[in-house]
Amino acid sequence: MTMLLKPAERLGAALSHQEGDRVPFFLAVTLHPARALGLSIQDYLSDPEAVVEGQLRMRHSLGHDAVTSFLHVAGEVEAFGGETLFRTDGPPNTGTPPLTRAAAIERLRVPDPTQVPTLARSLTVARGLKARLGDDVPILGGLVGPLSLPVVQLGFERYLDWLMDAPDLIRQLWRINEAFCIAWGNAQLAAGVSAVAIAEPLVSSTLLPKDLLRKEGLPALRRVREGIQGAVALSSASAPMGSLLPELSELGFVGLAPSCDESLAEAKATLRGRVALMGGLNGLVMSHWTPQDAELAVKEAIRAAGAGGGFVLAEHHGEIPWCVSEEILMAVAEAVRRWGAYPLDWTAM
Amino acid sequence: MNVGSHALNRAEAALLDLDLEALRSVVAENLAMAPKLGVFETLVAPALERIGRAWEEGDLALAQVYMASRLVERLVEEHLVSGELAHRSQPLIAMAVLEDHHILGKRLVLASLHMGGWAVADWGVVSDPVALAERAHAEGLGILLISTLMDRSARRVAEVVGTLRALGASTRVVVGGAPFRLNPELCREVGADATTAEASAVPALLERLVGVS
Repeated sequence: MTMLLKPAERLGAALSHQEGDRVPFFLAVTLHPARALGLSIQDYLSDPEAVVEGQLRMRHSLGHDAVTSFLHVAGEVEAFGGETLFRTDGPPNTGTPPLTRAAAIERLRVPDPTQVPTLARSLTVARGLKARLGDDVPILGGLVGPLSLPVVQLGFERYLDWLMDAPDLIRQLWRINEAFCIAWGNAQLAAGVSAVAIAEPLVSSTLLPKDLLRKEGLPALRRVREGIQGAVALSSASAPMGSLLPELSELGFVGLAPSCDESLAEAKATLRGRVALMGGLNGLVMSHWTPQDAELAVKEAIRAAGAGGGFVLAEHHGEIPWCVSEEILMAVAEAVRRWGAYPLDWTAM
Repeated sequence: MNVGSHALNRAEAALLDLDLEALRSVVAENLAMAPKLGVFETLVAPALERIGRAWEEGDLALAQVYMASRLVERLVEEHLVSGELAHRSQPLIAMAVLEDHHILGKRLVLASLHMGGWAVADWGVVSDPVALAERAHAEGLGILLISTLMDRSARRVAEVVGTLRALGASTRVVVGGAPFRLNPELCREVGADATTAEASAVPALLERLVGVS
């Protein structure tokens, strides 16, 4: 029987394309700890100590292989003058886009992420988790990619209008976002995160034209990846990576998370031995799962992508919805322990 | 009216090339054969539908669908301003975005509907689902179109539907956006009447709804 590995060793094995003791998994429970601690979502996300405690509790109850210091997307828009709207039953959202005039972009300078209250809180969380967990449990940081930030900085319509009518303005914003993403990623690494996950739905050719992505988007992502002085993973947050997956796999990311609509087996075949595949679970449908559905989903994902390492079972969208019950999360965790132990002999049956 | 495949190909190419002059030209050539609404329904709408389908099949980007819709919007506005593109007989229809300020779908849907001669009031971004339902009831809306981006906003459609039913309103609710595309059960879960993944399919969906109401 394989000796039980620590979470960092288990993830390390997967990222090295080795089979550890079992398939590693991570559920992005950024909101659920509030419920466990009896706090509102706003109070929870505003208190770094509560987030540290919440992440540790979820790690203890689920037994998953990482924690996260990521708070919410709206925090990054605050860096550009945006507002955060808290909800009682879901993640905070961004308010009215802050950059609505060309002159605002022409004047824009790269914000210092350490001076943005929400981002500074996230750094405090990272330091707190590092102090409690040391090197045994990986801490995942996160940021929104340079191509996707304009959706919340400008609004999606204005983003595409300007891409058509004033492309140089958009290029200028992308360059500022690149520098911001690098600074924000490095600040998180300095605070103790083990890896940074970039959420970049706009890298999908279902959203931006493939030619534009090849010419300008992928080089921008490469520069961000190279500028961040540590391990970086890329998630398209449910948008299909499609035929760009092989090119994305050449950019130096340690892991890639395509859409839940894409074939895990095909993605694994493309990435095998070079880049780890992350995903396998569609969080948006979890709310009507039974524990049996959860077990089946875990089994199917492991069957499709588990063999040979190089796979981290995770949810594709980047956040487990608030309405998903803890019972289902526990059923996922239990199924990974039952079906994820290497070697995966049962998948040959 | 039958539009030849050549004309349809030209309209599609004009939309993808963002060439308004070329689009005006192919529409003008077909106006000799049909009333304006017919030309929009049989030429421009199918061209936009082709582009929508190509997006569904992963061959085009949403940005291209959006930009093509923007071109159609301009053409429709030109004809509406001239008073030559008449609205159809229809129930009162409005469209709103629930909560999100960074969404694209509303403009795509409105472009498709305006082109088909549907009159749709744009209620913008609404944060209170109960107030949205109350307004729909007060104004005697036949159909309320709701666009969402986040899962949480999509689930709040249940409050809109619940309020409408509590008020005794017969307003049909049509929903759209990524949460409904990625979670096909959600439309039924929130009690909405219908959904579709593609903006260009909304006119046909409304035809069906109006036909059975």
